Amino acid sequence: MDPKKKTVGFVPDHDIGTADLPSPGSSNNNSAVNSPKSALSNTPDLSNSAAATSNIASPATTTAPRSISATGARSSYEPMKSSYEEQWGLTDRGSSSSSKAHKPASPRDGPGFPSKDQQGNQGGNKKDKSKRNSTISSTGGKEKTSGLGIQSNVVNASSTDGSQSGGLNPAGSSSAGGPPPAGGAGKAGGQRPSAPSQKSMTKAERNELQQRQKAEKAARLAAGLPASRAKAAQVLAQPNSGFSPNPSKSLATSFPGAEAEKAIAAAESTSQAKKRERLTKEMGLFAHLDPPKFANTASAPKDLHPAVVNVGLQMAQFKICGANARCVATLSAFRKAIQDYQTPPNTTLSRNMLTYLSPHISYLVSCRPMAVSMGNAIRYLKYEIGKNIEVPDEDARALFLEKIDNFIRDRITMADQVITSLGLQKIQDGDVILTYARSSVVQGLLLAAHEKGIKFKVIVVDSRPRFEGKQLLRALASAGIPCTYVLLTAIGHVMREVSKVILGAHSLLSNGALYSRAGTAVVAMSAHERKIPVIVCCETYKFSERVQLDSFVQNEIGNPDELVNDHNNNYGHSSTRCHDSVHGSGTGTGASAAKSGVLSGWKESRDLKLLNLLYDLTPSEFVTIVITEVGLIPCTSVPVILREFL
Amino acid sequence: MPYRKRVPEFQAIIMAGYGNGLYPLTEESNMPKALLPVVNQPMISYQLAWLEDSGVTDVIVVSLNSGSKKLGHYLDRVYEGQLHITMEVVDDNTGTADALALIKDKIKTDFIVISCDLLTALIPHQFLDMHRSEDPSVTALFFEPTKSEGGPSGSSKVKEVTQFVGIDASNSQLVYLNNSDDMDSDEFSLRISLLDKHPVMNISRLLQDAHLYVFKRWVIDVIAEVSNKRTMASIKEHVLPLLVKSQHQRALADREGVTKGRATVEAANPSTQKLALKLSTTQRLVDEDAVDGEWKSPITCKAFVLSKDVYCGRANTIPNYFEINRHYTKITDKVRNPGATNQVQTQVGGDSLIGDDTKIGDRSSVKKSTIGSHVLIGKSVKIVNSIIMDHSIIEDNVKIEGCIICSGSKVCEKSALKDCEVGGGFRVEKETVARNEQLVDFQEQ
Repeated sequence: MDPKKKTVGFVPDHDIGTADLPSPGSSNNNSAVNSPKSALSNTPDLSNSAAATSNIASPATTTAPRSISATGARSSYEPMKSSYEEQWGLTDRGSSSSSKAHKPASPRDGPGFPSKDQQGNQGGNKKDKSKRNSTISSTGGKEKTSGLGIQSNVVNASSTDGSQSGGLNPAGSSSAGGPPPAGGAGKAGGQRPSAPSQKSMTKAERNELQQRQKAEKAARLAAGLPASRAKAAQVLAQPNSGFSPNPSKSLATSFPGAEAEKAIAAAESTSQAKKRERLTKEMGLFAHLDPPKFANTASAPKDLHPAVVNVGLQMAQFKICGANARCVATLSAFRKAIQDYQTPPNTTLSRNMLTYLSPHISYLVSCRPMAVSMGNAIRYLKYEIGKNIEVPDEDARALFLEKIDNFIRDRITMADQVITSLGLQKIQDGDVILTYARSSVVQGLLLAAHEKGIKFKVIVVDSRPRFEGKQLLRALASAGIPCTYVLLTAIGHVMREVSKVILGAHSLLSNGALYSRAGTAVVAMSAHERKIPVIVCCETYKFSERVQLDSFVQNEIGNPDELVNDHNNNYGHSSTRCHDSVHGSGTGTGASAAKSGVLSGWKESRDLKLLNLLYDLTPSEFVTIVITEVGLIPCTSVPVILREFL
Repeated sequence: MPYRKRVPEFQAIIMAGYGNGLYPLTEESNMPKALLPVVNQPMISYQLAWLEDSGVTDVIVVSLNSGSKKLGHYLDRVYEGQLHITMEVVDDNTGTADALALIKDKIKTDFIVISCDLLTALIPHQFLDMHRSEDPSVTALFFEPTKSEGGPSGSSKVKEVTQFVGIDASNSQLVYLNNSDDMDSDEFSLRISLLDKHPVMNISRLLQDAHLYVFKRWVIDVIAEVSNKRTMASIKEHVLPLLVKSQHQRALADREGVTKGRATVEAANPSTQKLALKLSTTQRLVDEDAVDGEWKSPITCKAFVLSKDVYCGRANTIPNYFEINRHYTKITDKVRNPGATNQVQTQVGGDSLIGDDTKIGDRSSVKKSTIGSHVLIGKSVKIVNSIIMDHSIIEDNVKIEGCIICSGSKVCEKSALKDCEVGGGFRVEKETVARNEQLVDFQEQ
């Protein structure tokens, strides 16, 4: 078919006068019908090359889509890099598509159009972004598919309902490998894939799918056949139905029984989602959380201060872990960076300092989501910098360094000492103290109590995958404190003899909830059940303005491999991914053998997902008292402290 | 002080040695090792590219006196990258450690030492990130050499020096090094104390030192110390084993001044993250070992072992050089045969590369070979599995198989060479038939 004819197909969008958004979607839907063409492009390579050629062939298509398809192809072997590109590529695509996709359309083929629209609305308008993609390069696709166009059209016309579902599921056909049946009915009946299957597609596969859809659509358009009219009416009846980004997408994914299409659309609706899904096979309810970071310095700006770079890596690898440690590490690294900082010409140190620090901060965030403690410390530092903007350079440098030192001293080191001395009052002879995982404050307190000569026993409760409690146990045992070590599973059993529970905190929220290592809530609740006092040690700088009612709103997802990989657990911390892989395969036998577990192939398994949450939330009613450096307070007093003292 | 935007993290030092294993390619008449072409590009350009990729800006190239002029010319005039390169010339017969000791004052930060014959597909940040996060005294790269695909073995077979490398499986610590040229047997001895500390370790003979190290700044003092005590001190044979042993032999560490060097640095420049590591919930208590009354070495050596699917090779012998060339020729994305249009019935294999301005006569065939620029190849020539460097002349009806022909040499008509190395500027008389020979101009020394 010649280019003109193709454009014909697009026109109706405008003619019909439906909202802008639906039309790009609709076009996609039409194309989604599996035509013989799709069989041809079964392998990713093929489809990709098809896309490339089509782009060249038709100057009308924008250059943006081309770059996208290229990244898509690459992504299969370069997951990290491509995910970033993809992100950019997608935004590009999104914006360009809305404007450009319509351009080539010239109103000619009126009757054919409505049907498309309608189809789109029913099955596909939830998919907004992915659809748009396909519209962009659809012109390109025509050339190739022109010969097949008629056939596909027939299919479309004959089976309205069938075509819809079939179109949405090209994944199914591609995975099956065989050419899809020519008749739409067969497809429609057989292959309604569940959401997970679509989700488990790799980027390349998805890309392929889109290419195929484009090609098919182009073919149909080129043939100029109208699709069924009945659907057009429906479309008009429910305009806009699916267009706002679906807020319930995570819910949709978690109930595969609900519209599969919806889930699919949601999954593809944002580039973020795509990226995450490929890397981690995210869980339904946690789609809004950042995926685990695979930190390395490849994407980091080259002009970061080495101290910050190192700290970022150490945090990403959980070498530096725990709210206090991370805060101190961040501040110390910034201290070093400020020390080595040189003011560029035509500005002053204090004026330029924030600009200088901001890439460092975003680098740290890219390594691991920022801890509340870090956030508070950085806010404090920024505040001090902003306040002293007129101070001459050398004084300012000295001032900032001093401020950092003071913060570490006053809010962390000294605060810990005060908390320790306050906490000592709460530990008596004969106590059996239960603690969970490891907190630097709690450890300090217990050691101090032992030094003071109090006779007490400690039960260290620990859990997978990080086993931080082991390190605490080590420290306590080597100091001579009688200890018991159990895993969280035994909590009900050991709780009988406990007289006090002392816990550390990641953060205390404004509603009094305790945000801490996952598992804390179980410990606090079972203690509450038996009327055992739950004491939380927390410095005031960890108090947060945030209010959170459950652990789902905000949390951090750890590397799911930690759950699979027993090798890591033997050493208390997960070593880096890259080291692991390189090291494991390199040194051969020992390491790699230890690593292959029952679940080692979980990434290939379609229905298996792993969730490794790092934190949970303990509601305030389960916490008896909080020991802070300003005294012993009920945890509901957090907002008061924030308001009155800080 | 002039404004500099970034604080340099590493300095890099490229060791451009002579290349004993590459005789006769590195003769005066041809070019120094660093400039030997790999896919028609000087070898050193690969390290420079690698360093540029890693974010290093400051590079010192240490060259021996003999090849320094040609190398200097390349770095000054030809090289086009962004790196700031300084060249240091040292006398021939200077060991690598000696050379480092000589430029001691120029090293201001932690430094990367890389040999000019290392070619690897390793992504720099993977290696450097390990050094960054683990913070050891030295990180060294080890790799398992790939098996040669056969082909030209080079007539001068240098026996590879194998070493026993012991790596603690749990934390990639390099705990044992034993150069087996000290003892020819397959036995090696381990201290019980070492086994006490590292009950699980992998000891391998297959691993090779890739001559890529990252050192802490203070190690340069140790290196200087070592080079004072020995002649021809080398990093691989003297410095690295010393550091490895110092991890568990207190007396040795004290005697060689390793402990002292570390302590002075520590005092002058305390680690920024001590407190943070102490507070971290995943780290052991820092003073725990002191409680046990056990001496804790201030030194840690880490080994980064390259996985087998990442290409790495050292072009330190003729077979290795050949192998690397072949590998890189396969994967290069250069135009393989730029002059293809004006040739009649000439076959150039897809695994070959022809340089610019090279003319190939009719009915010739080139397979599995790399041919430099400005080479003249006559009619009905067969070239298989060979490297032909720039400005050579191959006359009609020559057969070349498994050879390396250095630049400026001439192979006259009807010769047949197999598995030979032809030195720079050498003229192979016509109808020569040679096999497994080195054809070099004899030089009075």
